[in-house]
Amino acid sequence: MEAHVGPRRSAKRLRTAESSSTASGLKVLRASDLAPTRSLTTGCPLLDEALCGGLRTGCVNELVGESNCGKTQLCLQLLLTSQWTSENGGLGCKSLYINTEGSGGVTATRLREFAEFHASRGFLGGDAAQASLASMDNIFIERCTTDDPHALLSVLARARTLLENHNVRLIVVDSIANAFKAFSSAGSHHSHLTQVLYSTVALLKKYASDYGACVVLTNHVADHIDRMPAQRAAQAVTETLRTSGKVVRPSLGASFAQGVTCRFFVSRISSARLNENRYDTSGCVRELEVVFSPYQSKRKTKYIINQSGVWGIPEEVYREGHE
Amino acid sequence: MLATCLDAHLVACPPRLRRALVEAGFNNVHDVCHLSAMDLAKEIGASPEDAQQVIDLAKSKAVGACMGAPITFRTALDLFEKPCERIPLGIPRLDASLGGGIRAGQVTEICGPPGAGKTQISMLLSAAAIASRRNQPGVPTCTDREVLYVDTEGSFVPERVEEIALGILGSEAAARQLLSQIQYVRVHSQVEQLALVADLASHLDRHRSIKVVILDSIAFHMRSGGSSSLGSDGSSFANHGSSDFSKRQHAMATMFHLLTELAASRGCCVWVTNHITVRSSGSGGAEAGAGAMAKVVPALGDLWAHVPAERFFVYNTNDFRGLLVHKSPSCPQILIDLSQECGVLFGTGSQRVVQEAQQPPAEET
Repeated sequence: MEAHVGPRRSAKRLRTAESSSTASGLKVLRASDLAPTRSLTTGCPLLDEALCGGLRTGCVNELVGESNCGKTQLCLQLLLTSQWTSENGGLGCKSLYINTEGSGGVTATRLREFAEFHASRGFLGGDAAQASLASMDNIFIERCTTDDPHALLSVLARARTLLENHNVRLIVVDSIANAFKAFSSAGSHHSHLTQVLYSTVALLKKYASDYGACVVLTNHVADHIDRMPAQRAAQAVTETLRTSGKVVRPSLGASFAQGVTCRFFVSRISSARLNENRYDTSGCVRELEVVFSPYQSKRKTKYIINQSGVWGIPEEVYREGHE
Repeated sequence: MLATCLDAHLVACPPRLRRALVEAGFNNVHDVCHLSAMDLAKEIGASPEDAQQVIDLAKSKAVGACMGAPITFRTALDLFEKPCERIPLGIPRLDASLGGGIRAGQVTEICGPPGAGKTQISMLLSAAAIASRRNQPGVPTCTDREVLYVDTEGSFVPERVEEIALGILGSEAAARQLLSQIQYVRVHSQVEQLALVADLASHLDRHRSIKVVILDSIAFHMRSGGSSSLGSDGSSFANHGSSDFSKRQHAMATMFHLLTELAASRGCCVWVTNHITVRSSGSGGAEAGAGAMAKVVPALGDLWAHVPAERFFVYNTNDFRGLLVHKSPSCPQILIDLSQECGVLFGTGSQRVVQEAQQPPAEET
């Protein structure tokens, strides 16, 4: 062996010896070495079962549905359950909530009420008053209500330090449809807007993958209008879904749909009402459906929203209360 | 076929030598390469050193001009008697129609809408490629083949692959072993994807047991530049810089070429997942009249469409899960009902729930 090996040659030797990265530096792992992804519980065992354990980390989850279906309420619940320890199904982390809906989304007041309610019921452990304040301290809220589609991207770019230094492992964007309001009017042929949307989703995916974070996006639906044949084909790429008796499609089109890892559709069942007093709810029954997910097959479950949150109801109860 | 002007490769010679070469009748690198310096010097009336310089130049250029290797011809009978390797996917009707399975040595594409099952089938392929049924009757075992799974979207689920492997192999230890034979790379951007494909050749040289390369999906990062309906919507590209567009096309073309070459030269199977998009044909996008027809086509346009030798579409509408063999040199178009044929993946009864170890405690409402 030569006494002195120059830097270039030694680097080359290192590269060929360590077969676990390509020449461009991308790491190649064995599938058996990949850590299993964790799930974040929703707080309700029935909903968790429908979601096969909860919302997965490491991927982009989308909650799509019409307004007043409990999307924001569920996000609120997740902001709290993420703080639970991992034995209880949480991630033991802080969270980031990006509000593009203005007053329609989670505000500090609403969050505080919810946290206090949960603390008073003992879900957060310890002294109720302190626990609720402490839990609020673990949630970063950012408002992003301008019309500029780049605004969300810059917020997310800044959020990197939260993931890096502050143990944030849950990112909620409520809603992504509002951040790209211009999309619906421009149509999906506006290539620049698509580009920004793509970059945003790709950045979220990268965060999810690099930090093992759980990303939850809420999305709106738009009425499905039976269009001319030319546009009908464009619509055929995403499925139609039914809510409140009408046919709708998720917003933001096919290119967004192809960037989402798991899509969950929440809808209102127009004909169903439950006994109000028994379940402390307005009586309206809603349904959560898994539209697609690499982790599980299609599934539906019914749920209600009441003061203490979003709760799944078993099929027998629904049928019974329905009569 | 004589060129009347001096071959571009020899233009790097000094001018007086160039003139001398042309006058003496030398027109391209091949004429010059075979001569010795003395002979060339005599022919063109230059000094031996100059002649040697010209010959060196010609030889260095000729190496790039790919001459010398004899072309071997094979008869069709040779090809028939030595059929190429096929990897059964584990879907009986599909394997039977394709003559054994997915063909090695070529690029195969599967496309479909989101949630149709492209990644599921890719994971099935990675398990099926490693498990072998051929030589032994009874329970299949792992061969020593390896699979490289390139994940661009983050939809690869190791637990799912383990589940599939368990279904094929029957024992947990074997399923773990199979999982360890899948190499996994995550790609986060267009740049990384292009770099990875460029490096694939050397990676496969270092790991000769890789027989299948899965690229899931090829389209996600490449579609960042707006709509892929290239034909009809040319106007949107004109606004955003035609140089970006042509650079992107060039990068894509290089990537496609590399993939094809990789498959052919190393005899491995390159399996690519693709998205679908809409292309409108007929007169212009502005007229939404009866003349404008639109169809759902695979993404990445015509440039890509010629690359894969075999193309599958996978569907997942409300009740029907199907796989359509759209283009195949060895099989006519057939539609396969996956929920019947492919119980290990899509059968409603057999899909186990991928459970988390921790369960939240029961809460009061």
